[in-house]
Amino acid sequence: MRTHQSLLARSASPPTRRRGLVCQVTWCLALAALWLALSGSARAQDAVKNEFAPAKRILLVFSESRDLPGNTLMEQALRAELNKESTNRLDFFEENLEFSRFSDENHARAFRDYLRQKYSGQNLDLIVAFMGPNFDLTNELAGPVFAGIPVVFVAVSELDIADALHKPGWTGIIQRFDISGTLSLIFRLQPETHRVVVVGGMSATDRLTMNRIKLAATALEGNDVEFEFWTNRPLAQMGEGLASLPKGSAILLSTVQRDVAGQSYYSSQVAQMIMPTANSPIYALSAGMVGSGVVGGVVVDFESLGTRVGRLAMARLSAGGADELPEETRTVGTPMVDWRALQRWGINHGRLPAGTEIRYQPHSTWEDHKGLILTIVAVFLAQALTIAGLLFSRRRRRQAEARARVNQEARALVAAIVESSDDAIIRKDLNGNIITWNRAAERLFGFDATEAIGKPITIIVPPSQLPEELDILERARRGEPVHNYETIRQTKQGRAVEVSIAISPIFDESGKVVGASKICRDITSKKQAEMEIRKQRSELAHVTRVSTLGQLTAALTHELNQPLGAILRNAEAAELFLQSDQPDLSEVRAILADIRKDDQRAGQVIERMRSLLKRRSLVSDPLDVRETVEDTIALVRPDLLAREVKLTLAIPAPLPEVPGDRVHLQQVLLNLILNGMDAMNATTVGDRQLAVRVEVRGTEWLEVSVSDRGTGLPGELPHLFEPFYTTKPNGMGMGLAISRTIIEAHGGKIRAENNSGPGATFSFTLPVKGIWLGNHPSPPAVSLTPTPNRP
Amino acid sequence: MNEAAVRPASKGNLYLVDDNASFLLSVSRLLRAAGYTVQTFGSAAEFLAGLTPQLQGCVVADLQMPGMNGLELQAALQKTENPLPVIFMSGQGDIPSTVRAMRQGAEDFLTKIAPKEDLLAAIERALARATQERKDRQRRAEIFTRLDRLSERELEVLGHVVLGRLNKQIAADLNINERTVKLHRTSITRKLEVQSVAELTRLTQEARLFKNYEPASDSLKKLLNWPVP
Repeated sequence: MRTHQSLLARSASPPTRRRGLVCQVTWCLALAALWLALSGSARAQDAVKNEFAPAKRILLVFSESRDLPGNTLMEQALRAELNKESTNRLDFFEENLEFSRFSDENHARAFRDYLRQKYSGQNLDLIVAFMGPNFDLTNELAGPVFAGIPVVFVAVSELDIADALHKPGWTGIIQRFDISGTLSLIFRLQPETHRVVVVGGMSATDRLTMNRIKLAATALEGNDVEFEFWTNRPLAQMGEGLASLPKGSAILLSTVQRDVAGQSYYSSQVAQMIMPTANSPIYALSAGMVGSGVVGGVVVDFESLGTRVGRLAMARLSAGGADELPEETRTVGTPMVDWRALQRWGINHGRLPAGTEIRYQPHSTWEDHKGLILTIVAVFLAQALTIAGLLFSRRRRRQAEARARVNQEARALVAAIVESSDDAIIRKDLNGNIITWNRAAERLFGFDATEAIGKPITIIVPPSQLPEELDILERARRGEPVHNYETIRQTKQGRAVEVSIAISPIFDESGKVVGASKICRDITSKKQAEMEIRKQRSELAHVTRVSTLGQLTAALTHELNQPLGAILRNAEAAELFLQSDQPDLSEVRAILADIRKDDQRAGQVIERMRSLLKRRSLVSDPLDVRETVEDTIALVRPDLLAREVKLTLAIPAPLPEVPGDRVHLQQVLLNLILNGMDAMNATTVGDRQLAVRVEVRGTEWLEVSVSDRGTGLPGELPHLFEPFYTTKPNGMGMGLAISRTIIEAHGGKIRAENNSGPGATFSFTLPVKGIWLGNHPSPPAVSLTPTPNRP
Repeated sequence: MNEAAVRPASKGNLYLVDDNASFLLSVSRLLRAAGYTVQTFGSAAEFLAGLTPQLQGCVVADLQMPGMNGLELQAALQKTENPLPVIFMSGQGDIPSTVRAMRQGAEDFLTKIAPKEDLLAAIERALARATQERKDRQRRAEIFTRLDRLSERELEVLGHVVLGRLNKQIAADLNINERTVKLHRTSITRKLEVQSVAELTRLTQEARLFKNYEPASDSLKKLLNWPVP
């Protein structure tokens, strides 16, 4: 009842829960959509262009190819910056001089003429010059065509700023190599470096860069580091030398615009040429070299340089060329490494300084498509959760409905069952007053419901059982149940009925005990059947005992003939003494005393047999286990001798008395000992040993065991104690079955197991306090009254 | 034992072996009263420990005893130089052990409650047999002591003599002088302490009856038709 109510209370909650769930799902979906939208518009937003204002015309001039990696990056960053900031439309023009490839003066002149002709009258607003390290283009842009047009230049160079750059309307950024930064990176990544080979070229810029490196190197000298500066051999031959550097070397690539043989190179070419043969890691100063085999360096970040140039250009455009803007130099670079080169030289990633840009690291699918994967998963999850939530709430609703229906039906059913039950079902309150009284109760106790309800429960309790009923009520108050307790109640007419009762406490909604329900079953006929079974069992035990003794008869004859023979001889001797002339009467007296003693012995043997032969039922008396065991062994002693079996007996000195039936326990022991002897028929004479042990197990049990050294038990042990199971050719198969019945009636257990060595051990336990089951078919779960034997 | 020899009234020596003390006491009482010299032993081992070649008499033993039982005692006794006769008593005689005991030469087999007369008769028989056997043993020892005195050649000559051959024939067979044969014959009769050829033949035949005795020399074995390996 209680549980039903609480379940109903719970079933009210699902709607709220469902709403919560739908909310959650909606939130998930909304977040996913938002995230998608944000990632789609993550690109920088260009400024809105004024379509009516005249477009700004910008010329981008490259001293080398604009396809060089550095130039490309700078140009893209520049354009992005200008597009972002400018409200005017922008019109770009581009020219490449490619000085390195076409270095003769004619070409320069032709290019100058070409520019002048092409752009005269074009009304350029700004020129952005991407100068080489030698500040090329200074002359090319100096002519009258470009006079008055503001110029923003950018150069990565070690040269001092040329005077030619100081012109009105000119401004720009000169980026220096971060030489000391790169050197620090070398020692950071390879702390074991003792030698740095610096490879350089012969052009003015090359020499200048080299000088700067030398300057930076002097600051480091004395720190167990040696610097070598290689400029005096053609780059093509440089490879050989670099192939055989000692361990602990590093190579720093300076600029090689032109080698000693007069050959010109791009920076990325240089790295590619020396890379294949070098046996030590190569570092570089320029970002253009990263990717062509070098480990890396603290290099110019062309993107940010481009952005800064763009910002400068923007400022120039807005200022309209009126103000002079300062030139800028910058020597702090960005650490940049090639992931593949790190792998190749086995350099630990952990040594990289914070903020290092790692290039060429292979990307996982996760990294490349993180957004897409997350979105898909989120959508799937959201969908799955929504479906699960809807299914779950539907099931809960149906269950609640079903439960409510069942609850109602159950009440009706319970009422019907209680009324039609064959067992008396009675409810009483904690004071022991009867509240309900079913039809079976009317039949069993003879009181009508109208008579019984409201009366104390004691109307069906015989006076002798009153304390017991008080105990039951006390238990009910504590909320403890009572199971299958067998006792006596009385009818209205005062006739005693044997009943088995079960009592369960009844709780109210708050869990408080308010009463107890009591089920009484009439077990009078069951008791009679049990009595009958017990009688038959005892009969069977007797028959088995007689048959067991039959096996012993021959040996017992011997046992009996011992004292009888002694009596006979003594009597004959006495006769002879008395026949003599002077009979020795003291001798005759001694003889008579001995005859009496032997007669008693013979009597004991007969009594031992007779007690076992008597037909009797199981009774419980305090039992001296030692005496019982020793007496049994006395019975079989002649057999032991005849069959040449050696018996050892181990009994601890203080042994508790155990309640039990002496004759029946002797029967069990006799059976086990005879079985043990039979099992050793085929055993060699010297090995026929039987060990009988009595042991105290804890405080509650006594164990008696019989171990033989015979053939052991066959596989199917579970049948061992079943009736008619036998392994002997002329066995009846009753001995162990009866033994089990007897031991179980004592509240003990009997078991058999094979020894680790030869033979088997049979053992049985007896409870020291005694759970006397002789008169009970099953143990009472609670001993409400401390009297084990009811009359 | 010496005491037994001193008492003139004794009908003979008896050794009772039984693990049952009260029975042992009762039987010893009866047999003493019947005129025997009785010694009691609680176990077979105890008895065997005191056994000497000079011991005379008869053993009365229980068949079923812890440790060495009656049959084992008898078997052990048979292996000694002094195989005294054994009478068994049993609380209950089962057939297999009775058969075994009789086969091993038990004098008698009685139950413990057998009448006194049966027991005494069995003892009489056993003692008589024991006396006869002792006499036989002495006679045998005596004969063989005499035979052992003969030389190889004398034994050879004796072999021919007991077959009834003449000196001349013996001399021819052995390729010796007839006079030498005569000298041997004189030596033989002297050493064997006999007077006539008939006596000589009887002694030789008597010696052949002692199957339990093994002659010392091969020639003697041949003479007595002893199986030679």
